[in-house]
Amino acid sequence: MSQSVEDIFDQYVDSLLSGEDLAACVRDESELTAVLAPLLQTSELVARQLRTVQPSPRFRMAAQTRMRSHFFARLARKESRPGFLSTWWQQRWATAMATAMVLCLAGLGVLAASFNALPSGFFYPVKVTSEQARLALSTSEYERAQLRLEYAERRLSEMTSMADRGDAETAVFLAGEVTRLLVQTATSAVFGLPEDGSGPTMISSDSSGTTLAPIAVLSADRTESLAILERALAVAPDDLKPDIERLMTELSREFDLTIAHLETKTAS
Amino acid sequence: MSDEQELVARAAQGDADAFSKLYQENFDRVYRYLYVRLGNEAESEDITQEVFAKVLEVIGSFQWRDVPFASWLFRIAHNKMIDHIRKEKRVERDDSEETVLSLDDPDPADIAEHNLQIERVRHNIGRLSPAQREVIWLRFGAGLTTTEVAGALGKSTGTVKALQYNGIVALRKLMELV
Repeated sequence: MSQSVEDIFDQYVDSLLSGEDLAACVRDESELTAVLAPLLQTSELVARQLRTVQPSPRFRMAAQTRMRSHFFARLARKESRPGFLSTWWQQRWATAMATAMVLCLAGLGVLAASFNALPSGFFYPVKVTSEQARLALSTSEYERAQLRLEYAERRLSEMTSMADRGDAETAVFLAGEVTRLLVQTATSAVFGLPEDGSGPTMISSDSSGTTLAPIAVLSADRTESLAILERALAVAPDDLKPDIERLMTELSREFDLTIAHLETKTAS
Repeated sequence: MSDEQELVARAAQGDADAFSKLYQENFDRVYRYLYVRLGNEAESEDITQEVFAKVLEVIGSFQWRDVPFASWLFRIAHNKMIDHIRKEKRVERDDSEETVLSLDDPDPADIAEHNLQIERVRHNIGRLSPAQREVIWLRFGAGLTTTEVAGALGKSTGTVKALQYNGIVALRKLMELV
């Protein structure tokens, strides 16, 4: 069966959209090609113009960081809560139960066992749930800021451990979690930094859309996180300054270690 | 199982690497589709993020019924955009209020010229019939294949090809290239 003009035109458009130039698409001199050539010119112009529309690097970085945090948080939630709890009262009840469970587990020593758990470990959901419960039970912004700094420190340690195991993807996720926690802390009432100036930015792809290596992503996160902490340090209450200074030192060390681990794994 | 099916299945099970790959492959074209539809950078950015948040939320329920993943994704993008337009109680505009694009060349004159060209294309696509312009946006804006466009719109590939052909014929006239 012969092809319709729409079919043939569609094949030419396919070639055009896959990057072939117009001359290569219409190299034969048949009557049909003569009819289609002007239409392909229009198609090329439209495709070329529309292809120049690209998300800004700033947006691409910020969206990537938010998505990564979103994904990780969802993963942690999925592992720590059963999916059938969907109604509001059930969720509230689940929160209360989770808190009660954390308290019970603390008594049984499970909580202590979860303290050093890694994202791939059996007890990690317990660790995440207990952190969420502590945040929910905290009574002041100051206490929440302290907790978030503490959790950021934990994520740093987990990040290094995961990199040591060769799990670059989780290490990158955890680096995003560190940045997210630091942004939440810095923009809380305790520090009062504006979100615009300290929002998480992350290089995951260059302007051409090519995905960068985890090491490049981690280097960008390191710079970003340190910049946030420096800004936070400048406005921090005096009694929180030692915590932030310690975290800055740890952050530099853990990121350097993580990058070194990944470089070693890549080389081997 | 195809590579794409396997990737989607892994992403649905919480595989970060798989989800990241789907995200990277589709992020720019979802943004581009929304931008060429809305002509507004801030709105396109907001909805792009909403689309991927929704994908993350519902990817576990995605089922292969001979519909490519991209078709499913762009249905979400389309529905999010429609929700946004309804929420804003506005109609789609043919002319843009904000056309700031990310360009390598910082020369304001070049940017203005570039924006003008984009707007002219958007404006003319906006004058096509609704079915034609939807096909042109998905095919040339988002870079979907004919099969993916057909899946996204719930039409046959033959219909999509006809709409594409007639849409480009009409567009050529509108753009005064004949």
